[in-house]
Amino acid sequence: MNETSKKIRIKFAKTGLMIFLGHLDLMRCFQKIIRRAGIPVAYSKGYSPHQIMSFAQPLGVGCESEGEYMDLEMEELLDLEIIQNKMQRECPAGLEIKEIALLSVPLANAMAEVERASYILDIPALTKEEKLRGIRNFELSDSYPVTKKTKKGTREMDLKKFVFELRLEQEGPIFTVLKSGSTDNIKPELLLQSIFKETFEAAGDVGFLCGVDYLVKRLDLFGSDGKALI
Amino acid sequence: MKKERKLALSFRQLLTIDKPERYLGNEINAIYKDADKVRLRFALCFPDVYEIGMSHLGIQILYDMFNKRDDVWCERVYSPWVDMDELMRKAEVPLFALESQDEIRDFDFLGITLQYEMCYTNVLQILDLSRIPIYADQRSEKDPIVIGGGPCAYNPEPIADFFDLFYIGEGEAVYDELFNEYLRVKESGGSRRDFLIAAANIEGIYAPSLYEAKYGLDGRISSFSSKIEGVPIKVKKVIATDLDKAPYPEKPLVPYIQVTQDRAVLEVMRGCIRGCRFCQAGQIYKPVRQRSLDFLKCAATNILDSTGQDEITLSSLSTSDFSNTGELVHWLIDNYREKYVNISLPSLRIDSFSLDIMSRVQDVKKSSLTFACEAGSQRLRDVINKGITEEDIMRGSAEAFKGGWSKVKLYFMLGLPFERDEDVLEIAGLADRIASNYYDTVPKEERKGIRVMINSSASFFVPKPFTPFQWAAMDSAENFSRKAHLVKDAMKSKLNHKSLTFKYHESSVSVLEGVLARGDRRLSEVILKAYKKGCIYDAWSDLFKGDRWDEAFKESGIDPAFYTERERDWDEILPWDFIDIGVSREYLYSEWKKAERGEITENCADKCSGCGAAAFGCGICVKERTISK
Repeated sequence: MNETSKKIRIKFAKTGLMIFLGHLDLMRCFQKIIRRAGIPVAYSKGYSPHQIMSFAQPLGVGCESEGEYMDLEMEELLDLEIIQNKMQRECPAGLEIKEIALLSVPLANAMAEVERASYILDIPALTKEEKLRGIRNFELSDSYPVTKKTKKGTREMDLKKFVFELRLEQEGPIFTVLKSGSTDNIKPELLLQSIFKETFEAAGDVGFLCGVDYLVKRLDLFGSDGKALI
Repeated sequence: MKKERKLALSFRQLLTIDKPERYLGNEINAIYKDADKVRLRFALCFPDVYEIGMSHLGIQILYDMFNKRDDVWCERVYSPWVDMDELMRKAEVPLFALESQDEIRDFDFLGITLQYEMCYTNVLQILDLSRIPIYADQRSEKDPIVIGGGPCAYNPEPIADFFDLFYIGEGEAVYDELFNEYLRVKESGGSRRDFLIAAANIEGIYAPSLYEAKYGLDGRISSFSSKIEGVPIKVKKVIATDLDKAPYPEKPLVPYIQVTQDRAVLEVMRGCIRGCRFCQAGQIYKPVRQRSLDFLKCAATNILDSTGQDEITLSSLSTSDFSNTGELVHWLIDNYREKYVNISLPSLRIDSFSLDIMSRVQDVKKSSLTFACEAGSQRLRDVINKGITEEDIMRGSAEAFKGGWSKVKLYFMLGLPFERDEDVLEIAGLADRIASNYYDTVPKEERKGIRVMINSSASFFVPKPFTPFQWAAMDSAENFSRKAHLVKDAMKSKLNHKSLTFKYHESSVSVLEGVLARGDRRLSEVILKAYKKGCIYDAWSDLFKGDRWDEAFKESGIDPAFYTERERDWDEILPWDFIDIGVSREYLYSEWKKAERGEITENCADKCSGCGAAAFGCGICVKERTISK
């Protein structure tokens, strides 16, 4: 670990009512948490300085997470436990600071490091057998072409290449590890929509709602080869 | 609050509407109490969308003050946005308070702040969604006491039938007394009516059902009196005489979504020394009272610490007239610049003092300066007693241009009393002269290719109660449009036309505002009809449905022009005459006559003009000055 680093990585959970917060609102919320906590964070230079922070892989509204990450550059480094306690005290219900680590330099930002994400997913309306059938189908096929919506339009891709793990848990939900990050990012919705196509289509215009009809809980994010981010 | 709260809406409902955070009630610094352990529950409502309501200082003050009482739990409610309105009706979800998510109809009080006339249909939406009978006389013992306050309570008559009580004045003054009286009546088994009568005897409280208005054949009010003996005939405004002793929220609520005013607010002063004749706030908030520097420094520290806001604004009607603006701003810079707190300074008059302050707290190149000229010609500025001269504007803009500013906003009103076409044309004239002033002040080599921009905008003047113009006829919409086009055309012919822009606001909304502002009790029928026809969020120009309002007037047999286009005389009983704001009717009338003659009146700091507000015995009125006869 490099002595001169003042960059810290914060792992936090976003649950409960915090699932309603979009990415920008979450950012603003953290900016105020940091100010209230009196953490000596570094600010950018220029006429409208802002806290130097970056978030890894934004989470969709309606999703829970046990493993979100934010990098923060400090003006002055405090004991990490003190930072954690001070920040936790200012967090609203549904945000929990789980771990803080000092980052060594040189380093990429939290966003760029992310390669994989693990999730617990569920569709409460489906029986265990129906879920199992969908997963089997996926496992048994050699390729699984899907259409991914991108900013520019749509893209055809083989989902098989980007789903690293997929299994039904004992109690019924689905555990999966998906490709994440700035390229070929697979949203859990895409996986569910593909393997449980009929269920999603049956909902029709009303739509199949994240947070109600299907549940997404991100467990953690990883770097390349499943390396921990913290 | 770490344990799970119940929600009035399901996740499915919340996830299908826009900005669910509006309805969660989990903001930082929200206050939760045990509903079973309080004696009085108050639902505090701003009848507009969350983002507007959350930006209002008055709500934050009352929320904090009410909740300081252990026996009271005050919660908030805002107008559900149209998508939520539809959902609640379809799913039959009654309106709920944000903190407890309990139904409003089970509260003791529903307090609604009335900040502008165009919120009246939203008031009906709140009552309707809460399932509280719209008309006060149809409410049962179980229904909340519906109380209105804020500037529109100074003419409560158009909505009098929908309210049990109105609070005339500043909340800090008698709410404690009102709550105590409520608890006394309630806990001794008294009725709703017993409480209303008791409340009407508290200074500042108006119980409309205890009063009666009668009308003559000409449609004007023939009498206005109390129906019950012992109930005061006049309702006197109440105020907080010492602002340093009034409670101020040190832990204001912090929303998650971006709201209109997303910053810490320091109210430095109440009232305004300038007696602009069109301005209602200038009269109803008299006398001018300031907060001390010590109080403000302490409040600033506590608010910034408890919210984490990165911007603080100094709020008042005219912050340049606050004695300690310079010192306070320097203190904020010294203590908070290194903590990256921005300082915003709205409502400053443009002079070298304020320009110096502004250049210290903002990026000169990016910001634009605002001159509230209100009228184009000096003659008309004297009529409205604006208190600035063209010389002031030229000197101020020259200073600003020298200081690096190159964008100027000018605010005007069209349709002012005694306005002539030559005054209107002077809007273009003044804008053009300010643009020339730039070229005269800033040498070519310093302009760096920047074109000066003078952006003018005009609103349609609406005469308001308790102003010298309360007797005036409002201009017609046709004349307003004609005048707006005169300005537009005149701008095109000016030397600096490429540097001039002109915008004006829709006139139909202003005409309705004019009706409601000076209306009487007969309008309640029109408002309810309009609401039933689907009018809501009338203050939002894209949602305003003028044709439905026209229908509502027609069906009620009421001619809006009776309220807008008619000049009143001294003898006419105005719907709000029973309210005593301290400023006398005689004073306002003398100002009306002085306006006609184009005579100006000195401001409160220079000379007392004996308006009557000195009766409150506080603020600037008790400072030593020359008192004119």
